[in-house]
Amino acid sequence: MYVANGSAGVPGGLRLDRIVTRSFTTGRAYEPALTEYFADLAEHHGLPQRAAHFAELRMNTFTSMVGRTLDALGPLPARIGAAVLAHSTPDAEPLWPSSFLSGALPGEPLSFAIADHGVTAPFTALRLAAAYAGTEPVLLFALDQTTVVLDHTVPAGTVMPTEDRVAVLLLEPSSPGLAVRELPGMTPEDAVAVVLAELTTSRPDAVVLGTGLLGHCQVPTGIPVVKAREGLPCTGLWTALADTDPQAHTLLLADYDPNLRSLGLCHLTR
Amino acid sequence: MTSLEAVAVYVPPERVPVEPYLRELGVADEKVKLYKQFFGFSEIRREPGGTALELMRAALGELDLAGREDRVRYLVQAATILSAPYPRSPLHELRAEFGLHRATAFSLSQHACASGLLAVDVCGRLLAADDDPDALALVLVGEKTFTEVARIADSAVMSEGMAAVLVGTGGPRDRLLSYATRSYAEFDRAPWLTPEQGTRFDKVYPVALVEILRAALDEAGLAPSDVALVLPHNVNRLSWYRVAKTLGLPKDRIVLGNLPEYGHSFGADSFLGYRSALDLGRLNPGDHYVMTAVGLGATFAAMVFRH
Repeated sequence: MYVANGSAGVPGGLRLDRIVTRSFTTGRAYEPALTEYFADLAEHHGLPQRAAHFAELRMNTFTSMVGRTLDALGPLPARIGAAVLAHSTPDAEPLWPSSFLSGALPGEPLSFAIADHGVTAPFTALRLAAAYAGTEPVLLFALDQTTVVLDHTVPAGTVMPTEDRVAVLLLEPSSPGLAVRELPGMTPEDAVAVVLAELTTSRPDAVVLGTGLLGHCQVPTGIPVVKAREGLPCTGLWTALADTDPQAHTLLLADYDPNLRSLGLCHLTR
Repeated sequence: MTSLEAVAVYVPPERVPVEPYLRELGVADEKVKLYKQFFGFSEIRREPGGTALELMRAALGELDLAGREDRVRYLVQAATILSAPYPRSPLHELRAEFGLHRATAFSLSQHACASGLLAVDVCGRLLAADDDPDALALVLVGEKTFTEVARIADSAVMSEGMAAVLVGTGGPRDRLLSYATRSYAEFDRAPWLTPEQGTRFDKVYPVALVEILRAALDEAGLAPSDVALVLPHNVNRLSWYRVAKTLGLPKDRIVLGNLPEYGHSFGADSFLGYRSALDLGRLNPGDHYVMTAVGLGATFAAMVFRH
């Protein structure tokens, strides 16, 4: 059970303890009970129902993905304070991976999900993980889902996942820890200017750039650039983080969502 | 301290009597009688046509935001169900339409009908982290009943309605004293539970609801007798009477007046109840009240405020 008073303060810092990423291929078919739900959702929004397409789909649910990743995290602390999910594409099934995690993780943590926030959802989730951590470690689950049942034309610039993937970050309370900022309403030019200004002033050992910024930022000489892979809107940046040189002690992670005009920045020291 | 700066609601004008509605949905006569006579449902509300966007727009239209748009830093949809195909989301359209250019917009999910209470707490924490006493957050909570699982629950007839809740950190009234929530993983496939799981949930429900109410009251340093009103989720009237008896709370303190008229409007119930309580003069300065919610999945939540 999570119990708190209404006096939220400025949260403490978080330090990255470990990160695990995993991709999933073979999935399972839908249960027939969901056919009606998705047909009604399609009709509600004037989209074709595509029942035959639905019957052929094989998918990995978020519950399955996070459940199959927990072992890879290794021994967990005695208690987890919160588990925050972040995704852009919705779950293949509209069910309750957070409820699953509350039961599966030590300490029965508070768990919830951030969505409809494009590639910057994990940045919001990180801020909230810090806000709910208190004195306990927290988990961030960034998720990408390829099975989007209501297949239709999406607006230009929308990044559709090419893998069912999860990136899990175990974060420990620590000061000063991560410094996460979100900047809404940014034009692409403004977003690039902010990132370059951050790089110039902070001079991190490396910068991890998401696909929303790659090719647009002329990174100052001497700062190695780690590129997120395309097709992973919510996990790409954090998967790239797992592959960075461990000798790089200070990192800036940044991504930009051109459709939502949202910029996310995370300074990380390890 | 997290506080409610304003609560605006929109309830569609179209009244739908539950008896013919449930029969049309294939509910057996004896079950229809159960919903009406024992659970207490008489009518629900539906907005003909449209999506959740229209409900949200109407609720926002009831909120006096003029001159405060730039203070809104977060626009949050507290979602129960997936109600729009990716990447459609009403949030970003409303953000532009209502001039909330400084707001970070996202949806908050996984607590289903309890996501509205979670969103109030989440917004309070984000605002506290920003450390700007003038900053505000706006929560939108409520759903369209576009499919069967969004029309009938085991103990409720679902209804359309939307609340727009303005959250701050420095307000003098409706200050959040405590929040308690607990999810029960064994029901993480709801509403598609096995009959055995359904029976088990029926046993867990009253115990878990009393437990979460007690936890929130304990954290606020209050006894049930200190509570002026409970603004509940609108399910099964009789179950609320049992909860009141277990807690030692007079049943007239549970605001169930909206249940027959509005049905169960997902996570908006407590905020609709708040507006009704104000309109009826049932909340006085200094009164303590409790909002409750139970979401599919199965998440129980209670929040204690001081008016």
